[in-house]
Amino acid sequence: MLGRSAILLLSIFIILSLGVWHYARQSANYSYDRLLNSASLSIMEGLHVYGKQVDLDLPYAAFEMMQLADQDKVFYQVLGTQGELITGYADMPLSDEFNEESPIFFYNAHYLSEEVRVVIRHKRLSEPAVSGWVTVVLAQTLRARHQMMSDILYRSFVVLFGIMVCVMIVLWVAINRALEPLSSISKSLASHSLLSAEPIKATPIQEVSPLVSAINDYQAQLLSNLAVMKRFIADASHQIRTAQSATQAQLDLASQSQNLADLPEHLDKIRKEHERLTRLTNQLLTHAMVVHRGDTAVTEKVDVESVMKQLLTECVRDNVHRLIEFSYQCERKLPLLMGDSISLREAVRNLLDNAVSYGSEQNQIEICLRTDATGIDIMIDDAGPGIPIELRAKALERFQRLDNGLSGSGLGLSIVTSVVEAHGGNFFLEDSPLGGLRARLRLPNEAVS
Amino acid sequence: MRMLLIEDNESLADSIRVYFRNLGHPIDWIGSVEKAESSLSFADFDMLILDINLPGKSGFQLLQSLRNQGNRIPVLVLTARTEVDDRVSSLDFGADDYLAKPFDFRELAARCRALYRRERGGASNEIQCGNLVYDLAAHSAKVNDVTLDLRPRELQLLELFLKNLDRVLTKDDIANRLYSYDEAYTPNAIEQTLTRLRKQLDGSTLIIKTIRGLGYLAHVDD
Repeated sequence: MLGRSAILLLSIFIILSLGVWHYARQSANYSYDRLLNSASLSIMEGLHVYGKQVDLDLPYAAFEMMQLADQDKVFYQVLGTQGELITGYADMPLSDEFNEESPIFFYNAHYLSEEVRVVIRHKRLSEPAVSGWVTVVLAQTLRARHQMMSDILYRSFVVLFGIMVCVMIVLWVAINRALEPLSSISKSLASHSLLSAEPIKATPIQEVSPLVSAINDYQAQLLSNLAVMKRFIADASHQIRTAQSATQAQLDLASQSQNLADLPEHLDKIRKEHERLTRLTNQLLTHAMVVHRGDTAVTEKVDVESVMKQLLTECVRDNVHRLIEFSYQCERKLPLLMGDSISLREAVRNLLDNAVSYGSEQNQIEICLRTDATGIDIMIDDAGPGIPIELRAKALERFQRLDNGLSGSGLGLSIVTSVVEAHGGNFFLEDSPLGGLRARLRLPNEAVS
Repeated sequence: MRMLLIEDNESLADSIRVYFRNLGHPIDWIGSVEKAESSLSFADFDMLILDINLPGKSGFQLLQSLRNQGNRIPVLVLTARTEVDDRVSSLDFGADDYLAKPFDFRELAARCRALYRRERGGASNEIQCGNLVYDLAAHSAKVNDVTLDLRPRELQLLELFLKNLDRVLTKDDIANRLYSYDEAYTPNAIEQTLTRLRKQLDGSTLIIKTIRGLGYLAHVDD
């Protein structure tokens, strides 16, 4: 921050210096041009007409004036009415730009290997004997001007530089003071463990107390997420270990068994436990995937109708040997939905699996799609036993299995909830017109990202 | 049918080999795509069972290069459940079917049979689906060697289903294949044909399922 301010100040310094240089040159020129002007005027005053001749009586005052610049050389030339040299240097550099209309003209020139400032002045003589323009050319070297210009420059630079240094010091102090509360917070954050339940101490500095409370809120949120995660892991490992130990037990029993006729029974139990474990593993991975995809907000345009048709087809194919009747209903063409087709697929696949595995052999399963101005409804109806109203809220909780004698992972509906929430929608369990359960996914058109 | 299994997990590969040998199918196993490409000719096999996650070149790469060469060998892809997208992309890359690990060996065998059947259907005049045999040339169907008494429309419908196993056919699909433009038909007529066909197929392993609102799906349940 200080470095950037320094660069800014430096550029201001450069711009100001250019201004000062220009000003110094102007004022040096201005002062010495006045001297030249007066001197040339007084020389002009010394011109007299004697008979038919113009003569110069060089005034003392003119030289007095020029001596104010004591290091400089002065050259002069006086020309008569015919342009003839009356006195002075014959080869003074004359400017082309000079014309008769203005009585006086200043310019820079090069003379006798030195830079000079020249003034030309003329005057019309209208004596009876002599009439016409007489010209005075006066030149002076530039040493005094340069001296004056560098004097002004030097003093201005000193002042400017002083101001800049002061500004830098003030800035440095101000920035440090303004950021001091932040650095004190970062010090306490550095010494603070993220996972300790203790919040950061409130600060007396009013300006940063919102920051402290925001950090504390963030930490509290993190801790609560962590607690949920811990419980989830504990539940999941409990479930996995249960299935594993049941398998292990059956394996041990089978290997100890003397009677070969018992083996098929043990094998059947092992197969069942293994299927349960497989299902649980799949559900856990799916759960992790949909949560991750929800967090990273993967969205694309989803053609819900074709996804649902495909899912239903897969479900029919997998359950073709059963007597379940499948149907599909879509009243109106659905708009494309901004969402994640993979998560949606997993959610509906879970609901279809539930409908198949918890329903009777002669079940009816229907996917029903509806749309209105604000969003779409995906409904999976079945004619199974359903879930009593008082147990529906419990059914949505993770690892809550209802005591219906059937084994499930307890994760299926929680996967659906995660997916629907990631799409900014709601998940409802309702009564189905087919007599069983209706699982309704309400997805708004403008998914919350 | 002679099969090739490309799978890097040795114990799984061993189990699959034992299972298929017990069923009487010759099966060869190889552990990586590189070895398969250098030492084998895919023309010797009727079917390829391909794992996606392999050391070195992945199954996808092999699948792509096979299809780019115009090789139409039926490929069944094995994927791990963690890569859900794999299932979709493997079909896009030209696989004929997929199975997610862990899987039931009976299902693997059934899917392999289905693929083999689909492949053979194009080449020979007979389509065999479990206990149902359909003769494309003679236009006759047998269940357990008993010829079914089917009318021409029912035979056409059966043939249509056999060529589109495990795919949903809408009523329009069926009508377009069964009737010419100038023939008038009613949706009812299709349903009646189907009802009679189903009655005749009773006892066969071919099941025609109705999905109300979507269409019909035929599946061989063996």
